[in-house]
Amino acid sequence: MAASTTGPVAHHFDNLAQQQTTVRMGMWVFLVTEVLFFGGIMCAYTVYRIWFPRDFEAGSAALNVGIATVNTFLLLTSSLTITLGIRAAYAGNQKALKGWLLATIVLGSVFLGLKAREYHLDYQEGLMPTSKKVVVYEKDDEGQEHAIERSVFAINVERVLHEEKFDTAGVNTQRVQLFFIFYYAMTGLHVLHMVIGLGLLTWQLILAQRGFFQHTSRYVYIEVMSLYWHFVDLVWIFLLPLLYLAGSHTFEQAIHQFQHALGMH
Amino acid sequence: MFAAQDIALLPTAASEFAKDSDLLFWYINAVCTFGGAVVYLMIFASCFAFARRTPNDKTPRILGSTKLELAWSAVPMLFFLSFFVWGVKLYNDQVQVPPDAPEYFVAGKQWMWKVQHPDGQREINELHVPVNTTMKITGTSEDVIHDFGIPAFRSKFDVVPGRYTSTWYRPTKEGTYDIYCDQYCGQGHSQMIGKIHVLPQADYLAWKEGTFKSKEGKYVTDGSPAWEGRKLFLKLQCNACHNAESQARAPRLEGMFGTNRPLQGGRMVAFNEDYVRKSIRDPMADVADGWKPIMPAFPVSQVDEIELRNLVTYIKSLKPGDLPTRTEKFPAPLGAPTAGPSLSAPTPGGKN
Amino acid sequence: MAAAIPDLTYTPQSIPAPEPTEAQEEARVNYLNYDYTLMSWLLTVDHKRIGLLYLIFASIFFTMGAFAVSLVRLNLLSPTGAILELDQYNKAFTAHGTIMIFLFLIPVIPGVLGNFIVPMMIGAKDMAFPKLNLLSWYVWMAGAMFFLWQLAVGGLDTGWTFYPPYSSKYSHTNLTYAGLGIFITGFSSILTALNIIVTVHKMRCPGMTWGRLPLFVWAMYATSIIQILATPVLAVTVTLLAVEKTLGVGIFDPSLGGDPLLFQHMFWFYSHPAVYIMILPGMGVISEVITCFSRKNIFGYKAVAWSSVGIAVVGFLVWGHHMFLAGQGLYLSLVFSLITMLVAVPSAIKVFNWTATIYKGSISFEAPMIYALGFLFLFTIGGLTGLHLATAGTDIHLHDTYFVIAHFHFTMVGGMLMAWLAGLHYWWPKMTGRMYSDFWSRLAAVLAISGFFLTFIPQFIAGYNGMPRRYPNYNESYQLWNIMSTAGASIQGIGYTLPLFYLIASLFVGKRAGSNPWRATGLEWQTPSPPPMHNFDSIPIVYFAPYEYSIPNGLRALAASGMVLTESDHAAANGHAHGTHGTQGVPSGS
Repeated sequence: MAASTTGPVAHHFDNLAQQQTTVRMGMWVFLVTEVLFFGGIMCAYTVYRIWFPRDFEAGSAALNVGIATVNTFLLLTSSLTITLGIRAAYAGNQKALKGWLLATIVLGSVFLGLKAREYHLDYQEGLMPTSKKVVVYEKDDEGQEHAIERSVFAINVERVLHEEKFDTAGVNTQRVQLFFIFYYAMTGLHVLHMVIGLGLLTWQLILAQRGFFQHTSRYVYIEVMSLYWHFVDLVWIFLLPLLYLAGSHTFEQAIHQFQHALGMH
Repeated sequence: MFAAQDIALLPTAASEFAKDSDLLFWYINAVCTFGGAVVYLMIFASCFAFARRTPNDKTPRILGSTKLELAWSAVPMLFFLSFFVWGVKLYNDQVQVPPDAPEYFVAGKQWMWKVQHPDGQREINELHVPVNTTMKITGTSEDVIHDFGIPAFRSKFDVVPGRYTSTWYRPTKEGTYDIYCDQYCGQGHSQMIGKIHVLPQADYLAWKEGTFKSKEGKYVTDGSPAWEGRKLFLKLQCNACHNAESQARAPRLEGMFGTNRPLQGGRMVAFNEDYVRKSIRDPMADVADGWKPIMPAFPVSQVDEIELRNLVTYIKSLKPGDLPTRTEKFPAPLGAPTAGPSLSAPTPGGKN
Repeated sequence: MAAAIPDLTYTPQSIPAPEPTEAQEEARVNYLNYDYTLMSWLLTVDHKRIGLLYLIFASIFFTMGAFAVSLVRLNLLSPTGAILELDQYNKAFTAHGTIMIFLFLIPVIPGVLGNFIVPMMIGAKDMAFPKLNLLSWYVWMAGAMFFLWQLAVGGLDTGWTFYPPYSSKYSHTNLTYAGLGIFITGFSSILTALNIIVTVHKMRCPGMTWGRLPLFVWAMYATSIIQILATPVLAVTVTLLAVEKTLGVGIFDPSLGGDPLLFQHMFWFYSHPAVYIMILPGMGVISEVITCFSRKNIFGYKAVAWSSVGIAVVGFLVWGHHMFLAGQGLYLSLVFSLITMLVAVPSAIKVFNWTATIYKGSISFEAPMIYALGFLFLFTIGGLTGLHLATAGTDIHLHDTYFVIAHFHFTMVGGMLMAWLAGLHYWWPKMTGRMYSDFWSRLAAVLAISGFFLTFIPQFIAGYNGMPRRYPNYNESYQLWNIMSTAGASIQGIGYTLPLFYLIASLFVGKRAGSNPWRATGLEWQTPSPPPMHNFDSIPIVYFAPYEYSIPNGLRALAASGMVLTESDHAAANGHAHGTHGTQGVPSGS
């Protein structure tokens, strides 16, 4: 399936082969920096996870693993669709290329939609790091009431963990808050990268619409796009066990959480 | 304009370690000076001997020499390794704190040094110590990272909030030396200057005599850190929960120091100074197995670092039977839980 | 269409290039004169113009950093602080450190010389990603402007190392936004490095094998590797610190459950390789200048090339030597001290190789060479005093004193800045087509070097005597050293200001340089000055290794000595020359 038409070569390159191999290498070098970036924050997370295993398990138990599971399948599938897009571009099949690009964009967008829903639920459940405190009245063993200042976050996370039937004995809510900082930071950075990726995919879709990829040698741009997209996927594959699978969840819980996400009950 | 003694040129070496440190320092200087001189001589000589004479001078086509590369990699490496080995030995010397030396405690705070002697005497920005006596110094910070540095001892160590760090000295030369803060800590960083006075033994004892006495006895003596800690233990009503009664709400603390205790969740923790300190500052962090997490936290505003250290020292000193009874009387601070069995009736023969 | 093969009977080392006439130069179109509009500059994708854009602003930022330190040094004339309040002093030294490191030392050689010269040295028409190159400049400008604005509206008083908990909890300055500015400039660093790596891999002209790369390219390549691996970690560290400050959570703050040492580990994991980012390009420049001005081959090409890579790799493993006193423990300190001794060796190897290069050379002392010799002299002191600090036992005394300040200024200023000036003076004729005043440039170099020496040698003494760093006030016994240091700084200042005048003057009244005023080897000298827009009129082909100063008659002499290709190889290369990339049909390298 040789390429039948070759696209123009930029002025500073000698030939097409040089241009293509340069573009590929550029993307790989860029991805190395991204590995170091996410690797850095994952290292910091790992250090705290090793020091405070119980509290990080608790934090993880409070997350919505149902949404995370569905999102994983969506993202993995989108990696497949973009790869099929490379094949389409190489073969010059414009219709298929646009279809696969669109499929990738749709799958990525659904991921982001579910992620937004997940953040919204987190917000509703009050799992947002805050230094706010409230005064609550608690009875001690002898039945006497006392006014105690409690952290808002602590109250919320305990309620959520209770619902998830997680034993909160010995859990330090200050540190669970630290877990949530990392959760929002890491997933937030991932979301940022996905948004950028979707933007780039959309741009490529528009270019495809304009016939940019008629020159089949330009399949290399779909290829480097897919490299970036695979990387974003790979980061998610690391985030899933680090963040979501630290605490134990049952299958029923996962389904229940996903239904809750969709507003079904 | 400058008198000779006003110019800092060769600093006094006022401790054991200072002498060892200087020896290594000057050894490194000697080797580097020699090596540097060889290189400089070559460069200098070449600049003269090989200055350009005509625009078309011929130069020999010398590409390199593997032998020379190996030689001038190996020889410096050997010297550097000698620096490393001696340096680690010296470093280890300072880092291995003699466990039974008298312990001084320093709390760094923006922007002052609070120091406490082994027998409880406190000083601010000053430290009087006897000459030729090994002493250990442990420190922490009440806010940001500081560094307790004494150039005359060639020694310094960071004092970090949230943990204890230590070093030791054996001052060998009488005199007064500067203490500097050697880790940038904000506006008053350069104002955190102290003085350490190394006194001959007789003078040191006299200094001490002029300020307080020390007592002998079975229990900790007045003015010592452990005694101060015991007073605080009662004042803060720790004994309301940490007592020897069967319905006590908190673990008994006697004889626990140096053992490993189980925590909720199955982990084990070493019952050491750091753990005790953390349990007072942040009791929800590592709750002992089998007990409810009901202990209130005591922040810096309520218990400063020196007081905290005294509590730690007190708890460390507890042997079975030493714990005060629940009813040992002391006025309760505001906000302390007052419910529970009455604290009012004093028991005869109660310790106070 | 057969490419023109450079005429190798004429070699620059034997016969100076024919100088162009004034009329010829006026008429010739080059990268500077083809369009004078502002937009042609702001939207350029030409690596040479981008290099000049970096030059203008790096010089401006250097001046700002120098102004900040002039306040510091003036204040230190008196033990009780001559002109500044405590707070102002803290902001001044922080501004000096951050501006010099992030806005000057790290970007200057990669941005100016890396962009301008590297593509030419490898015979390419441009960088691999010209548009990305321009974006890199804009990102740098955005980050720098934002950062400087933060310094102006309240300043930063944390020191360039901004350790928490001081920086996150106690300082009342704009750490978050200043950190954002640095974060953005970090991106620029990464993009430039990416460009250089891919360019060196993919854009070399025929015959330019790895073994024939000029050492400046090796140095830039090693620097770029460090940049892409280390800078993202700084980005993450600054992000986490900002999160801690804005949300009041305890990532590094012990009172909220965090660990301040974790910050130090993460910060120094970037910041130690960062010092190699700063020095390696300078070392590359020195290799170029020393060979040209001794008219001799580099001694130990492989050793110098591999030592750059060695420094880059081992430099990632030594960060803990900044933390010997932080409470990290004996074992870690031992490991880091040992590996630091290892990383000192490649730098020593370079110094020895350069010394051996000038031995039996034919040395002339124009400004670039004076700077290069100054580098050898000053950097060696800097490197040697690093040993006192790497030795864990002596570091206990020297940590956080003026000894450390003197050490890193000897390497960064006495080393890197002198190398930058050497490179600027060396390639100025190539970039602008003009020669500058020989007298004034030599004078400036001598003033800079001697002023520098006077500034920082007393600081070693003050430091050994215990004078701590970052002190606006100090003990009287240190005053003599401080006065000497400020005096030296004034002399240095003159030395750094003079180039502003004679270099700009050269643009108007300087002699036309011609393509190769220094009679140097290297592809960048085989094209007119200033270069045409696409650098070379035809693709160059490289036949032998760089720095062949010692051979008067180039190709014919080499062929006669049996060292290189035959006439038929020559002709074969002729036929395959145009449009090929890679080694097919091209003489293989050493």
